[in-house]
Amino acid sequence: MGAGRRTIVALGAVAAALFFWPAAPAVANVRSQALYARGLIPYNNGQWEQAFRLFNQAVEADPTDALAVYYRGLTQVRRGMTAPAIQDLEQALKLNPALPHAALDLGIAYFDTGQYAAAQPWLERAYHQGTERSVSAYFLGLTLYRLGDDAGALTYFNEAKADPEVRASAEYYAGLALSRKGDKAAARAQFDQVAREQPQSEIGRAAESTTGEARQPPVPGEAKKPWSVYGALAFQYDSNVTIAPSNSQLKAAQGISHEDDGAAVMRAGGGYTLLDTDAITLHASYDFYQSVHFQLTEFDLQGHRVRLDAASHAGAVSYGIAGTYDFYALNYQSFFQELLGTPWVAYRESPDLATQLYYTARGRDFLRDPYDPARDSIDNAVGVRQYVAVPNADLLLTGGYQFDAEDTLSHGVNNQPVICTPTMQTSGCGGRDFQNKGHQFDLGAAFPILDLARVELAYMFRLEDYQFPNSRSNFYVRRHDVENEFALDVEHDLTPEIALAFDFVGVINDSNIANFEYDRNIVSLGARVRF
Amino acid sequence: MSAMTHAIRRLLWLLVLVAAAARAQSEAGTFAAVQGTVEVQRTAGWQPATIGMPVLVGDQVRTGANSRTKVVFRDDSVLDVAPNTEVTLQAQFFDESNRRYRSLLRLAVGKIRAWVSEYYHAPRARYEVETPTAVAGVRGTEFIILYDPSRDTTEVVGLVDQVEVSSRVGVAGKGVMIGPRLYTQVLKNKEPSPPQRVDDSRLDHFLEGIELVGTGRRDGLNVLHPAVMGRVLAAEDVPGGAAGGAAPAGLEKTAEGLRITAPKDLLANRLSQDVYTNTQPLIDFKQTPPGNLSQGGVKVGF
Repeated sequence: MGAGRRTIVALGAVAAALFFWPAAPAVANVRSQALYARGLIPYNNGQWEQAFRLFNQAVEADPTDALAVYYRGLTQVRRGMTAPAIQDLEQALKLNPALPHAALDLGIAYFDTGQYAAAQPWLERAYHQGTERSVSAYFLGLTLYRLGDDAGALTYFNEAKADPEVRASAEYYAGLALSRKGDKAAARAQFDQVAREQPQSEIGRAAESTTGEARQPPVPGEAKKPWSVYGALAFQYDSNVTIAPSNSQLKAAQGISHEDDGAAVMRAGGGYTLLDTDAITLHASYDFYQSVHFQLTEFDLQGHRVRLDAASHAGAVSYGIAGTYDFYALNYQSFFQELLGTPWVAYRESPDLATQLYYTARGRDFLRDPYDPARDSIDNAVGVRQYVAVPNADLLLTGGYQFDAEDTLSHGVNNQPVICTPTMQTSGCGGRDFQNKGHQFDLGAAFPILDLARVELAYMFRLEDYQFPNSRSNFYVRRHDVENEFALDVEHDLTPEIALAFDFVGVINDSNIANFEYDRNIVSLGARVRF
Repeated sequence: MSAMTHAIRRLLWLLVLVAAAARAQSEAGTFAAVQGTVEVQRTAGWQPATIGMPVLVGDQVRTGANSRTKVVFRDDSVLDVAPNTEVTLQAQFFDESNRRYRSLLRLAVGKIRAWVSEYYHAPRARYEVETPTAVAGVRGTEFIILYDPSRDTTEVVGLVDQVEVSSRVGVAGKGVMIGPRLYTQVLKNKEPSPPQRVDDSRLDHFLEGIELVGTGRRDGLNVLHPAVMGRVLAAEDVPGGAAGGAAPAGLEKTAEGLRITAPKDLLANRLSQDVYTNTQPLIDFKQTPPGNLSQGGVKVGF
């Protein structure tokens, strides 16, 4: 091939490239347009999978096709794929910031996932753009209500009421916001209106069921009232008041003729929120406990607890510290006192899922023989808890793990506090029998049974590994305990303030040393009053 | 020529006509979006167009004021029809095996935007829109054409690639090629005007009213959303707060979701402080005389 021909071929290739190159993206654009248009047909029919496939192909054909990206996002929401939907809606708005309705849709997608702070600016944008203005106002009102801004929410609800499509819903949520603000008369007027307009809808029935004064719904980040008091009286049967060992010979050797008994149990207490601002919540409480046994009165227990809680939050992270002082008396004589400090932090992954980490330091001081001073101790615990609210089922679940190490302090021969060490013998360290490390797992669930009762269930599994050969085995073996603990609390409201309660607590403690092996079951029936 | 030959010839013509008639009624496209009053004329007269409704060869489509539609064709071309427009799908051949593609639309009044598919890059493929004064032929891909009968004028704006626009004055009328953002107009019995560049505002003017987002119906997430359907969105959204649902310690369920508080005691310990203060072997206390308090101990109670 001569130089001239090669030049002609090269020029031809360049010309061809110049001719076809600009056409390439345009072809993709037309293909994207056709796929997008085809996707609209199943979208209109609610055939989300088919629509998604076509919109997805449209985006693949032209990733800059804002409409295809936008409709893929809308379809993703319909398919329940909210996270990629939000990505698509945001991307569509980047490609075409003027895309009608997309800001409202993005705001709604954020709202639906509980990301209210993220939803707010998009809904404000939709509102100011005038996109379905009353609908935008309504969703903006809902978002502000969720964020605790009742005044702001009411402004938008009032505007949304002009639209027949959202009027009843806006009135209903305006009623909730008014109720939370304390304007009960205005709230009731809203609920009455909703009940008249939409008697068959959920909000109509909920509004209709509001009898008497409209009660106040909970406020995010805010206590309903600063104080609360409660009292409870119950009668219980305890199968093992003395915590007698299961082994009957040991029991006889310890002079235990019977270990079960009934008791009346009284509780009372109250709390006061000292400070409640956006930055911090400070709450103080006091609890009193007294068990009065019918026969085994030596085991009557009295408890006093003073507690101070400080908490704050930053976005999805909340944190705080709790301080507790306990004083217990056994047989009306001082038993022990303890001080606990618990700093904690929690992260809310979603409205229905949260994780909490905590550390607890506890110092326990026995005030009476035979445990004083041998069992005085410092206990350090770290734990993690997971909280789950099961969507669409009024069910709350918790699960946790805790590791703790209890170091017994013992008053030595010179009446000086001593921390036990592996080389010390019992003469100087009587608490060594009780120095242990524990691994604890627990599960909990809370749910209502129709409108009849509230139920809380819990199970705890605990391994205790004692650090020194135990005196009750003549220092031959170290003690190992496995504890299973079951608890049930069923509460039935008689009035909003008074409830009947049935409780059960079961403990099965297995140990490699028979002295510490025992079972205990407590059933209780009583009444609780709270204000 | 024998009578038999004539009969066969007549029969063949009849078959051709029947085939042509059948082809004329074949499905060429589908309405993908409909907004406002959009009607299609078929044998039964004018009837409302709906999304998913087929578009047949020979169909005449018209839109009312503030009404638009989008049609996607089997050849992957798309047609956007602006308000107050009347357009007819005169013919369409789509023969993939022989690579024969041809579309002919007639715009009687109004404005359309055509997205012409890559099939029309094939040799001999032809996509044409004719008006009473002009014919616009395109090899791909996107252009706007409008016809105003009051002025008897056709205007064409190229958006992507080349469009050949010619007058209907004689078959061999002088045509012009217009590329992206170029414009020509064809007055009655005149040749197309020389191509002119259109600025942004002029382009917006041509695009005005033709843009149809989505199906033309309300496609957004607010449609059928529980929040607008009279639903209670969360258990807490009732007067008086959540019905039932005791929360485990360290947890509150609020309107904004879970609210975590300081970790509390386990349920068993909260229900019974006799369990919480478990200090086995407790019997040791029974064997210790009451009142034998060590230093710091106090007697309390009744």
